[in-house]
Amino acid sequence: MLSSEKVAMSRSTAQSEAWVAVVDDDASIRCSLARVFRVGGIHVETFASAEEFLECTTADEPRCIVLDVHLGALSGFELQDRLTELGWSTPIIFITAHEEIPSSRLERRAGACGYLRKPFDTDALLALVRPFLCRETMSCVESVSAPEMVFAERSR
Amino acid sequence: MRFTLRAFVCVVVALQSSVALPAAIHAQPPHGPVHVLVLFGVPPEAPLISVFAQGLRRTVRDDIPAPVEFYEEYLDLDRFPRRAPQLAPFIADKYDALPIDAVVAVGADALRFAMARLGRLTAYSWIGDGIVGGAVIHHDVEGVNTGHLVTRVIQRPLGEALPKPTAATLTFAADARALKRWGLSESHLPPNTEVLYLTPTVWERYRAAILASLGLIIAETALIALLLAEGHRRRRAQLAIEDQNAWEQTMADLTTDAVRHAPQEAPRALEDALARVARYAGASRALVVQYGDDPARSPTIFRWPHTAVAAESENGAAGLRIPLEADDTGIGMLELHRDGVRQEWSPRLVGRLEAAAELMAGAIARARAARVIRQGEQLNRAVLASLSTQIAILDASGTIIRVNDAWRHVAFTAGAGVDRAAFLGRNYLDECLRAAERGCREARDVRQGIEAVLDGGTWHFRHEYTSAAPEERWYELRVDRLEYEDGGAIITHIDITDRRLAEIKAEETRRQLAHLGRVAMVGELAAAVSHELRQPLAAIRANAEAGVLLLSRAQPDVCEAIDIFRDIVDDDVRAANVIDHIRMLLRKDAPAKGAVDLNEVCRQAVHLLKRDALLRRTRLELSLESPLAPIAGDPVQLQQVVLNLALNALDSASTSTDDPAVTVSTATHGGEVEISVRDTGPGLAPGVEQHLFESFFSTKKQGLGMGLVIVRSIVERHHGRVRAENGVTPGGGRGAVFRVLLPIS
Repeated sequence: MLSSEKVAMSRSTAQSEAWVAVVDDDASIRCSLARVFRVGGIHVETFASAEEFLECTTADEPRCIVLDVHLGALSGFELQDRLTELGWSTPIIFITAHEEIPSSRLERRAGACGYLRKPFDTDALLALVRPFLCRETMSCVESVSAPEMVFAERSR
Repeated sequence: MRFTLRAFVCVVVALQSSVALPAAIHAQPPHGPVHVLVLFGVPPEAPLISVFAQGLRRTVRDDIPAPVEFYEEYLDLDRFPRRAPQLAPFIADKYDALPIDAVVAVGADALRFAMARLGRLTAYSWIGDGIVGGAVIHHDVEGVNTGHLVTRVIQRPLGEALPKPTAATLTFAADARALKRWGLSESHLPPNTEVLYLTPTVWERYRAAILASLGLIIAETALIALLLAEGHRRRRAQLAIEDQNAWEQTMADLTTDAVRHAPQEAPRALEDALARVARYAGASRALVVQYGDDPARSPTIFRWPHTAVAAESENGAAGLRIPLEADDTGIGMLELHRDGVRQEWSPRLVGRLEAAAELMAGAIARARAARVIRQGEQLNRAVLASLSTQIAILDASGTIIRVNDAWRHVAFTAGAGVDRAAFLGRNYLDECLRAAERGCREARDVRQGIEAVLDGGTWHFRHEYTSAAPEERWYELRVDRLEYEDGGAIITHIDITDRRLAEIKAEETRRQLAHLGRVAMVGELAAAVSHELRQPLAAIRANAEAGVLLLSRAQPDVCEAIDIFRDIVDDDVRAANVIDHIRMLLRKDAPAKGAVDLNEVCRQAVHLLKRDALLRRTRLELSLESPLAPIAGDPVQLQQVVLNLALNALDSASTSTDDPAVTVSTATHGGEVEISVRDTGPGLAPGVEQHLFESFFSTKKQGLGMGLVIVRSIVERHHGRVRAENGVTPGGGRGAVFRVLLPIS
């Protein structure tokens, strides 16, 4: 059985439970964000690297991915590209601690899903994530209003 | 013409029994010596007397076998009367003792005297004494006859009568002067009459003189001919000598020309030589062809005379061509032409010209060699002159034997200073001593340096100095040993002001760059700090907000809340550490001193890097020597050293595919503890080692180039050393090893 089909099957079987993936190489960030989602009642899985995320075939497809830009070998952007190649269209919310990465690039990469610069307001993160958790509203464009985006940007 | 008038012919009287001499004549036998006395009544210079006397003497001597002695007495006609009384006794006395066999009286006066003195006589007289003419006898014939008569008289037997005088052969003769005086015509003379004294001809008058003159002339002519012949012979000898002289002079001139002329005058010397040879050879034209050094170049031609043009007859018959050779190589051709001379060149001349040509060839060859040397010399000179640095060449004793233009210029214009006064022919070492005495401290060092080079102790000596006037300039004095048989050194003063200024400027630029670099580094640092702080801050915030939510629930999970607060504290510590870390990096003061266990430092560093190693899929191992002596230092800084080295090693090792690994180990070497960080990466590229510890040098694409600088800085502050090398891994691969050696406290 091909791995892509296996992933597809595992996604379909775990349809019932919506979850969020957090990919960050910093253990403190992973731990604290996991806590934020858990307290918020959202199922969360954390991954220390892009490779680790890719290798995880048992998990169902997350409703969205909170992805750190600077990872180890594979960067966040590279993981996004890899997922696109694999046919995934999972929304990705980028987070970063690096000031050097220009906002224009982040905006382009994040698209309508949004991005956050560390340290950020966890309410803003939850606001970005929540719309994807509603099964009926798959499109983030409809669920996330423009003022919230502005807020997320300002909350840095 | 030797005639006597017959009418007055004398008679020879035999004086057999004369008054004075009978006894003698009788006493003498016919065979004994005969004594004949001849008395002349004329002076000795009278004409024909000698002819008569000769005929008489010859005849008597022919006729008589016995020896005959003649005694001749001349009775001066004019003075006779006065002398007669004295003369007779004189003759009588003179001849009295002699046995006179015969007395011959010649002429009237003599006859008269003889008659008067001696008795019997026959008279004799001479034409020319005033007689007009008559029958005459020839004096010579008559002399002969008289001789015969005398002989007969002498040889007649005793008692026999005196022989009769023989008749003389008669001829008619007349005296032209008498005829003229008496007005008589020659036509009245009988036929066959000889006219005497017709015109006293030159011949007649000066016969003797003429004859003598003729003889003289002939003799002179002969002499002249002889002299001419001698002169000719001498001239030929002279010419031969002159030719030899000319030849020798030519050769001498050729030789001295070749020697005397300066090399640059070689063409002139050759022209002179050509002229000399041509003149000596008697040529009308001559030329020397000098082949060029390079066969491609056209030969040089010298002509003599200058005006001579290249005529088509140069290949003509009269031309002589002699090749000029040096070292068996044809270097030219000597051509000589004699216009209008058909004669062949004599082998002797050709031989000499060949010798001259050899000299010329030698001169050309020498000039050529000299030119080569001169060109080399000119090149040297030109090179020296073209150099703007001041150059002087010293011989082994330190005397300046050569300087270039720049040196001269400075020596003339500057004049003062340590070594400017030194000029050609002066001893540089002495100049240094003088300068030292004047108070120049550097001069002593310079002198020692130059001496060391001259003595062969060193090859080079360098000394920098400055001159204050008129503007500050830097100079470098260079002394280099000459690789030259006689030793010596070359001294160069180089104006390094520009270089110095450039260095200063570069130093400023470097400082500015360093400043910029520091600024950039601070910027980098700020970015790194901001990143390092944002992570714990983000975690703290997330934890705090999660905690707020958690605790705002009706039944908060206390355990969870406790974890949250612990995590917040951890992240806060972490953030504080980041700040400490940065402060430590920026701190320049001496590190905190304390006893540090390097094993513990390494353990902590490796622990901190576990995650990095994991990410790079590289094994990070420890190999510690235990126990390890403590060293004095700052554990945080030393940990930084290990961290930096190990991080580099991880980066490097991770590029290799075959079981990448990094080993951090400690060991003791004598009084030092060594921390070594070894990787299994590609190793150090050649030539990289010396730059590794320089600022901003990085082999990594995104490297800052500060890691190893910090390492070195920290290690040096701990009085240690750090070095990098390529090692060999157990698997046979390469890899880099960084070793830090720190002294045991």
